[in-house]
Amino acid sequence: MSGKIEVLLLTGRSLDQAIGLEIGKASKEYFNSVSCVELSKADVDALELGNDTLVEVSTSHGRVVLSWRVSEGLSPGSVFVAYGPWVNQILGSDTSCTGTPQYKGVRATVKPAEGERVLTLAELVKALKEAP
Amino acid sequence: MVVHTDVICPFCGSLCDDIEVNVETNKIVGIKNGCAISRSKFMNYNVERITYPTVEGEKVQYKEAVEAAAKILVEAKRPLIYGLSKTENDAIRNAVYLTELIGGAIDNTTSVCHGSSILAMQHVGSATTTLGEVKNRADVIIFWGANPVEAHPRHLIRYSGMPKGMYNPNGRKDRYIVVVDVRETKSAKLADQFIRIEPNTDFEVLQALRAAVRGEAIHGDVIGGIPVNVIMALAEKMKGARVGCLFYGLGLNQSEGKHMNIDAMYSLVSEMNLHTKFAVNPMRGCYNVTGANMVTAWQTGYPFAVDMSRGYPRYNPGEYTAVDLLARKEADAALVMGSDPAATFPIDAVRHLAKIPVVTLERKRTPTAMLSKVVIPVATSGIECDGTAYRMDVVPLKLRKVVDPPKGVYPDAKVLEDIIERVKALKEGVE
Repeated sequence: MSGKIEVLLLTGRSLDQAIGLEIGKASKEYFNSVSCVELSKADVDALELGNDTLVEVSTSHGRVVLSWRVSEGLSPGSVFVAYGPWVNQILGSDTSCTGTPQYKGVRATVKPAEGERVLTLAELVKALKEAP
Repeated sequence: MVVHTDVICPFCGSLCDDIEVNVETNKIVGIKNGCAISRSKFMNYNVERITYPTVEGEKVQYKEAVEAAAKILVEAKRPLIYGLSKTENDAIRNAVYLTELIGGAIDNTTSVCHGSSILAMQHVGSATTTLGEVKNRADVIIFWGANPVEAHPRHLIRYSGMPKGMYNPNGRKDRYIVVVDVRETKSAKLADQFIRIEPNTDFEVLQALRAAVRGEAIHGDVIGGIPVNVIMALAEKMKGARVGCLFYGLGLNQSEGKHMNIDAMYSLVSEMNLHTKFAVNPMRGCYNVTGANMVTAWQTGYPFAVDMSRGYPRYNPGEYTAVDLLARKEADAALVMGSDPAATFPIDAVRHLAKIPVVTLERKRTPTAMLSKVVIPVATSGIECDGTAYRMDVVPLKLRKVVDPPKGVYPDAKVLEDIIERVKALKEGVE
């Protein structure tokens, strides 16, 4: 296992996410589509990620544990997560007086998340309800 | 079996109007012509449905839920009404009226998608066109920060890429398609030219492109990861277009620079019209987010981020926008419809949403519904009720009803009418 890498986090629509949300946001299809970070092959190699290893993506706003897969379309140093409540755990609410938060090009860190698991939607909602 | 033809797909802003829906005993059993997302929407419209209203998670009668919703909104000092983009125009009109009655703020999903586009449109102006004109006339198409293959899967097929048009008799062969993006997306793979841009450099690249179009010298060899000769060649390609159209997505709105990126893009397109006919259109996501802008603008004069607390509309993105109202902990109650902010807003804003009483009008179990004090199920606009929606190019189209909603489940517009009636009664002290 390697340490961590600095990246720019991109979020956006994906076909699987859209298909999944129309089944339902409590569906397995939606969960699989939005709780996974896509990385370049070079970044996966740099992190020495094993197939069963999860990753932690963190920003100044928080951290989230996600599964991962390789995307050939990404440059090293850029990672992608489909829009959804998982990636929103680490995005900030500052809108620079426009109303729009920064969902793309966000400075983030990625590292292996040994011994952790991806939270379920019910767990994310429970955490929100119980937050101080 | 009843076959409904020319049904409009209520998913994305393309509003494809050629869907064939097969219905048997009030159930959709098949569709034709739709994309994979459209198929998922029509075939799963009845999966994971909310079928009865709840207050504090307990099943209640419809009237009780309406009463609880009205009470929350009347008692709030700073209520927010948010969403509006996945419903039809009559419901949006009622939402604006309700906001006026309760002296609240109203915002739609534009504020987290193309809100910056509207700021730039208001600043620069917009040389726009319809998708029909693009199909028939445009021979240079640029997608910038947009991935239509995944977000608007039939846009290229019906309007911008493949179809034969009046002046594009050979379809795809008559169009030169460029994709500018930070990722090599599925759309990039279909393009004649893919230009990879570094994240957060759209403003610099667009300004360089403007300079190239004006014939001015560009200082530097590489801008935003793009060699200057590529930028110069793109400028020449654009100037050589018979008709060009620049479609752009949230890659511009949601990156550093935000409205200034789009300001530069609209300025570029304005200047392009000194050379040839060129248009610019945003790729709107939710199927009626354009309608949310149109209806809110008819009613208040402003397309989103409207505050009615003084009894008249005021407009200020960054202040009256939903993320800001929540992140500042200013809103003390919310009504959400046609959106799921708990799944789409950053964590700070959602944390506050979880702490205030929320009324949600929703079809399915969503994170917002799971956080809400009052949940009222609604019919699926464009499947279980009709109405009007605006396509991304501001063309209004009639949504169709092809099946009945579940018993006791009503359209958004009807639920809002009932809440409005109770709000009026509560404000007048009538039981």
